[in-house]
Amino acid sequence: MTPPAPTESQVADELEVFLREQFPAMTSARLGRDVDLFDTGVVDSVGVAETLVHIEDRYGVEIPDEVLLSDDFTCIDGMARSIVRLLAGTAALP
Amino acid sequence: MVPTFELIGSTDPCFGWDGTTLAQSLATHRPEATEGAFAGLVHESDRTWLARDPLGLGKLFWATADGVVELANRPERLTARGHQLEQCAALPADTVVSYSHDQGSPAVDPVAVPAVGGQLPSAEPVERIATRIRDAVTDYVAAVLAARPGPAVVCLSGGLDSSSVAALVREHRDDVVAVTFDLARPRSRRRSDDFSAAEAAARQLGLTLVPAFHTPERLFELLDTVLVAGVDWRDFNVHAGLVNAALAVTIAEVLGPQASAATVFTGDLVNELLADYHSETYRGRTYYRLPRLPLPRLRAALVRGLATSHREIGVFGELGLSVVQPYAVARDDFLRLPESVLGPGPGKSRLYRAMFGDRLPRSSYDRPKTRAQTGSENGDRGVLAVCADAGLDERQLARRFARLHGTDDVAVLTRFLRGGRYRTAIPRGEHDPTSTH
Repeated sequence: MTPPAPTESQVADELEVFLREQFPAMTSARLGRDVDLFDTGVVDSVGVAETLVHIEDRYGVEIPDEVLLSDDFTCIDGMARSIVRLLAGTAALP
Repeated sequence: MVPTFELIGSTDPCFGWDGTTLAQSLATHRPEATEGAFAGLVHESDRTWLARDPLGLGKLFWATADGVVELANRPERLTARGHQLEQCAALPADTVVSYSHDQGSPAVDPVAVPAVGGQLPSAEPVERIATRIRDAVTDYVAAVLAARPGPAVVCLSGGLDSSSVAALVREHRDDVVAVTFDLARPRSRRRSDDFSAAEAAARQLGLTLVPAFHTPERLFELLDTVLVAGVDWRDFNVHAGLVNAALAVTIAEVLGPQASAATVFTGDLVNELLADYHSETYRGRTYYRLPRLPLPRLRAALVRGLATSHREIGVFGELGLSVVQPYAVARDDFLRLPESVLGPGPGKSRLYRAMFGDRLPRSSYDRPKTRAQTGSENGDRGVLAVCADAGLDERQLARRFARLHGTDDVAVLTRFLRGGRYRTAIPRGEHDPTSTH
């Protein structure tokens, strides 16, 4: 039986754990899940590459460029939304 | 419905390669199964198509105004016409888009064999793959030189990548000019270790070496050119772009009116294809940090990153020179190499021995990697140090890049380039989300 797809909240929880472990700026800051990780400098371009590989390994989805560069894919909640949509096959196509 | 396209400025030079034929124009060679470097637009009687090479070395950006898709090989040409940077998209790498007069939506196809996870399956021994890489690069260099009788120039650092390309070019031409970069040190006659490595390689290959000595001040004069034509503000790419710009200036000075007919060869791309980069430390700070990933995944990320930044073709092109990166045509075989060859360890020398044996200078095997932008271990400063000492950090570079593209809002940059990828999209005409006017 296929395990149920994770919810947005579960993905957000897991992503937050990963990001806090991976990026020191994330650990020291009390950042909400709706905070723009790029504007705040928490995640740089190299960090994004690491995050993308983590998402690919953990959830089996590749993040397309149009999702990566979307306004939603800037914070933990938005990343989680994007991943759940991709898992459901409902992400916007190019 | 075929959108109306308008090309703003020139496109990047076309150096496509299908294994036997050099394509210098997309109008005469279909891009299917073509490697090398190209990005452009072709109108035919029954269709119009756009294409970008498998590695994304050629660049093609676009934005829509009043239903017209405006295309350019750098976004600054689009922002100069009133588009906002975040509304400019790149045509995806490894893509052919065909707009037929009979069909409603464009057909989108890859150019090359898809490399799943950045790798192609292979159980072949390294030596056999190495032979194919060498043969492909050899044939490509021969074809480029046969098609372009103008001066042949090689950017030579003395490492294995550039020395191997220099050796191949030298086999076809007696009058090859090798150019190497070093910072000008007016009060010292001593040269950097990298310069000495290039001298040794040039001597052993029988090449005339032209030094490109540039002061920091002269380099900084090239910064805006590098930011605009290099389409990037990240420090590694800007520093590499500054070295390329300095080389290009020197080549143009040496060749004079012949420069526009010259072909400049480099050993680029192998660092990405073998993931043999490493970070650098200067004054206690780490620069050029790499993603913390297993080597095959790191290589996949680096190779994918080639589609972003125009530090080679764009920068040389802006300064009037056509640059060729021969290792582009061996992409698939590099992606078949096993993990044992990847990374900064001894695998690279093993691969080069299998490819070229004693045809390469011994000094290059002794010093397999040089990096002109970082300086030498003996304390000589490189471009990284010069920029860091001048306070030109990535934040400053981002601000300057934004301003050159018509905005003071640095936040928009992450909507244009994020995680080593440009915003990409396929132009579809009047309903494009990028439509601005």
